[in-house]
Amino acid sequence: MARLLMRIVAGIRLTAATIVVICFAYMTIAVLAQVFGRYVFNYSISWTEETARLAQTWVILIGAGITMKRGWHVAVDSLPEKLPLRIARVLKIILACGSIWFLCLIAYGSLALIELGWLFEVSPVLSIPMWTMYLALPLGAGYFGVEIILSVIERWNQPFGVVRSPDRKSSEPGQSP
Amino acid sequence: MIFTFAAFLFFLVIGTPIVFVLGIAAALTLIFVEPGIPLTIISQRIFDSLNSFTLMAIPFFVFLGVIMDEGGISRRIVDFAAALVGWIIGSLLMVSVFASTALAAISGSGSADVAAISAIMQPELRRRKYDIDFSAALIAASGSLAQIIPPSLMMVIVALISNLSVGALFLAGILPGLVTSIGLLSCGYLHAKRGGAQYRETEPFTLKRLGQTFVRALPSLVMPVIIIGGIVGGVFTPTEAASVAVLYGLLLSIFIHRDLRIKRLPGMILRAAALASGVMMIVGTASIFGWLVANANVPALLADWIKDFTAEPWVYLLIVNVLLLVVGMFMESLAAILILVPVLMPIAIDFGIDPVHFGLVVVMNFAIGMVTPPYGITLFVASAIAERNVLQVARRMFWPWVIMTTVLILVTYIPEIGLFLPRLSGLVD
Repeated sequence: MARLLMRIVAGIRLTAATIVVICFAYMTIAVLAQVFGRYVFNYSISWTEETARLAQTWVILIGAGITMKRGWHVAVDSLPEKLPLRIARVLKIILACGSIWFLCLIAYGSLALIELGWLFEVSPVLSIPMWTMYLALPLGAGYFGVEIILSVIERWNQPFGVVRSPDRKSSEPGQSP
Repeated sequence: MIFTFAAFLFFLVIGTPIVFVLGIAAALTLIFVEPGIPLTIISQRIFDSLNSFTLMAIPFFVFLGVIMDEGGISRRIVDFAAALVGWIIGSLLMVSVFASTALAAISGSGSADVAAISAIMQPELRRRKYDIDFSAALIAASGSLAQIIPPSLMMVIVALISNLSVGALFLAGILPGLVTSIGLLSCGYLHAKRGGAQYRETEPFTLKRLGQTFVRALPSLVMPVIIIGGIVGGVFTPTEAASVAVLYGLLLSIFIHRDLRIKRLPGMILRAAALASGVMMIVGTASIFGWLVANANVPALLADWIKDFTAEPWVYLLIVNVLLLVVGMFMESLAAILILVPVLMPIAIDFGIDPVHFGLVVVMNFAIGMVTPPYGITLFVASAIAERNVLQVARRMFWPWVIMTTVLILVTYIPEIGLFLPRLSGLVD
């Protein structure tokens, strides 16, 4: 049972990582194509911006779970870090429930958007049905939720604070401009 | 509103990730204070803010940061800095600040610079027995230069939401950024001057070494010309400039530096995506907050209140500075800009303050916010890589903070410091 679960988790993670890498690469190439199209070939491509934005929504929404997996969602945890282990565990579970509740709100709200997008909305340039974009919301929220649950399990013995690992890069906290 | 901010503070201090602090506080407000608004607004706002071409500059600049780190660009800049300023007392501190300043002109994201500089400098600082807490504080402070010296993500966002020329704002940041950098260099120098013998151990200056490291760093130093020149000259939008910088950085790292193997690209992209996602999800949930603030008619109420309170632009600027310094302590800076600038900018324009000048003041405030606890992102990164507790490092932040705040006051009350370059190039009257 546990082994089966682990394989499912590994499958989900691989799928998410693949989607994110492909969409990010596409986004970069599309914007570069736009620049080179304009200046080198003197031809403005109209659809690069729209498809790059589509790719970006997927990168960010699916990527949020990967950020969680790496422990890079920034939090102010100097206070809970000082709590005794048992209380810290309880707090961590409560926070996870609160976070998942919010993700459920996102997923719930996105259903209405998808329904609307299914029936009426298409993107302005290429007429891509808008539900292809909105779909990233519930999928991203779902994967994010899975990673939150996994992080509670993986960090059972040190719920808060920076994990000190021999690999410097994985202990580096999230980054913001 | 009070309910919203109380919820916000509560979730912040108990260690909730910032994305959820903003999201949950906004959702609770929708449920308990504004029950008439459908909850779908949450998904709608998040989606709308991610579906933005301008904000795409964020993932690209973050990716550029990863490339700089793994492709040997940061390393070469540090080597050049060591050859140029390594002979001064407190040489490692001088090199750190100088290299951060140079990286700030390439990168738009402060924490990427701090991560790169710390990873290179910390082992050396430790070996030569420098004060680790002070060094980390100084590196964190100089990392926030990335937002003052162009290119800067904060400036892109401020310009976007207030309809300003990004180029004008970029040019406005150059002089204040250099003044801050000189201030931080002096801060490090004075610290070293009072310190022990370890600070007097310096590297001799040789023209040969300077020349060699300069040639090696030159291709990297060309990058700001492409990015800033391209944006100011109207050749491309900030997002396009960032994508071109990514391409340039990749080609440089793979073919000229030869530090990067192509097969490592997917891993780097994944790293960039995870980091960018952390920022942009916060921007997304902050936009729900921003919408609530606008919906509760806060901008108009605040404008009336402030105009009753004072008719003097300088008092308004003072209020804004105090407000933003406090907000910067608790809030993620891009999120705070998205929420507050639409409120504060129209009032500033009513007071006759130049919008570019005001935008610069906002950016400098939030650059300081990046180093002030409890929530200061460059402070977090610098402490984590130095393997020190955030509060220990924060204690040594006093002098760097004083310097940054002094420059902020100068820029606030002598608009010419910021507006000189944009005026010179005709982007501001």
